[in-house]
Amino acid sequence: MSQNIRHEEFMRLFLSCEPRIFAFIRSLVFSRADADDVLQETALVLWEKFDQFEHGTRFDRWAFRIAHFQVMYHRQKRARDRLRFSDTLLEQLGDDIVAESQHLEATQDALAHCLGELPAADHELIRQRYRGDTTNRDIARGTGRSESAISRALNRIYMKLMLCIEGTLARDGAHFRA
Amino acid sequence: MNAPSTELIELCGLVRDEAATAGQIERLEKLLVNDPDARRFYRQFMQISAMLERYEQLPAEIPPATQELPPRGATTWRQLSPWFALAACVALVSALYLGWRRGPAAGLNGKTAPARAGAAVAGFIQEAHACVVIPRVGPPVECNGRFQLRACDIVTTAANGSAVIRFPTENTCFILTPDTRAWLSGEGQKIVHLASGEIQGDVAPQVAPHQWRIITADGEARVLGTRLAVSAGAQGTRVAVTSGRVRVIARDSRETVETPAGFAAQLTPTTARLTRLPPTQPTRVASFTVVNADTNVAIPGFEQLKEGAVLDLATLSTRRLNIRANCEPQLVGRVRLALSGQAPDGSELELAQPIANGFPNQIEIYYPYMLSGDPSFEGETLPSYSYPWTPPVGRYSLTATPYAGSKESGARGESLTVRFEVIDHAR
Repeated sequence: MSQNIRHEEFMRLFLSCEPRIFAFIRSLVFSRADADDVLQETALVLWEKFDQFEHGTRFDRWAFRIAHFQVMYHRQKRARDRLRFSDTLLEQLGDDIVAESQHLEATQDALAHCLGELPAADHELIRQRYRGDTTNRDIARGTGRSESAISRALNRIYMKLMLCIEGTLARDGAHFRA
Repeated sequence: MNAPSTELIELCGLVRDEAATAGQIERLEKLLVNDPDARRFYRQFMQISAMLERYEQLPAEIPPATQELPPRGATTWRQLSPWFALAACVALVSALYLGWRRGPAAGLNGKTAPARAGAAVAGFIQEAHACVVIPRVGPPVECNGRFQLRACDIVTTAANGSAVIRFPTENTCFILTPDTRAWLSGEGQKIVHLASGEIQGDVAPQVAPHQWRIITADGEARVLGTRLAVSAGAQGTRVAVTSGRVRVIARDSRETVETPAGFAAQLTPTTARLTRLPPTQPTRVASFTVVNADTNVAIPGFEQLKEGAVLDLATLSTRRLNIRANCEPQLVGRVRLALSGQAPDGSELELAQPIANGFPNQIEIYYPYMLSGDPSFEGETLPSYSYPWTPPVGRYSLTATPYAGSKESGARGESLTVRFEVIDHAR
């Protein structure tokens, strides 16, 4: 396979599951910036090892395995970080996500649908929180509410979204297990 | 699945907001470790968080839902919004895909890669060799030519690689030497993160407090306009200053040393020590490259202008040419270029080009060191072109001599002379 074709094939596969790989990493790494770093490192390792990928098998599972290694490697580098789960729990969570990974794509689609179902005020809060580098503190300053009130409001919206996603997937015959 | 407890929801929220303490993480672990339902809830919660974090790249306005039911049969934003969001996803992915498809092609063909969707361009790679860019989102892109960089795109060079990073709004350049890994912060932040390897910088004069910052694991160098080299490795960080003055700050102790030209600061997270640089650093001109003056991209086949080379104007992709002197180290104080030529009848050629500068005996202070000159002046923006020159048919001798200092001071380095011939088979 020529380098160009190989690269295009890699991009096609990677792009199709990049949001899921990020979601996988984000579930295991507490800091978003760190999760972004791990995703970048994962992308590099995937590209370097792409020759080892068996075509016809599931790229996302292969990518999750490598992402898991990268998360562990990242933890090694941050060995003194106290904000971390134990290796046991990390293994459990990683295994669970890989086992249920086939539903992640449907979950992503369902989330797009469920965002459209939110009331306008909730929608606006999500938009404010997830555009740019806005933090709860920024929103609190802008709205005169407390940070904890913003956090609770987001928790409430998350619960709505989870219920909506579960309902959407149930209607479509999938399960929100991912 | 059992309904999650309020405590579990709040702890998940704290993790999402990156506000959890070590004690709260420990408590969350206790809730999760023996409870599959709790773990499932945590995974779902964090996956929504991750997906929403990725939604920041969608268009600014996600159509809001209204509280009122729409009239039957009417198409409203509320009905369209999920499709709008999905369409936006598809558009985004398509745009990124197309951007990435063009990325490696740009590297191979030497054409400018278009800006990819998402964040604004933070800078651009003007030229690169054996270099890979790892975008914040998406797969790595091999980069052997021009490439537009967004914030946090990691630029890595191989053991034989290099990359020159420039900026659309100022005449500053950073050169990544072999085995280097670095990235830029967001637009306007003027921060370069150096993870490992060495960066050589030629920083245009800045107005305080908007200085450039080069940050490593050991601390940072704050630069208001100077020439310097920053290297980061297992032994710490070294900031060597060849002109101007750099403030170097240790990461943890905040110990600060003002580092003048001719000195280097050796940095660890807790210490900053000044040492004197060797009196002169050997410099040399290693090769010449013939470039298309409109793009500064090398003319294929003439990446290294070899002794006795023949340039047939009729077969080149352009007649608007320039010749770049490639130095080691890549940034030197100045380069004196001298060109002479003889017409086929043996007479001396009268050499000129449209821009009035020292051509054909040009002194170049700012990188790139171009025979026919280029608009790299202090404080001005730098378009990616240089002044074109179409050489008359004849035989030429080109000599370039590097100097360590930008003025008359600075040791003379090892010069290079190449003889070449220009023909035009179209005539």
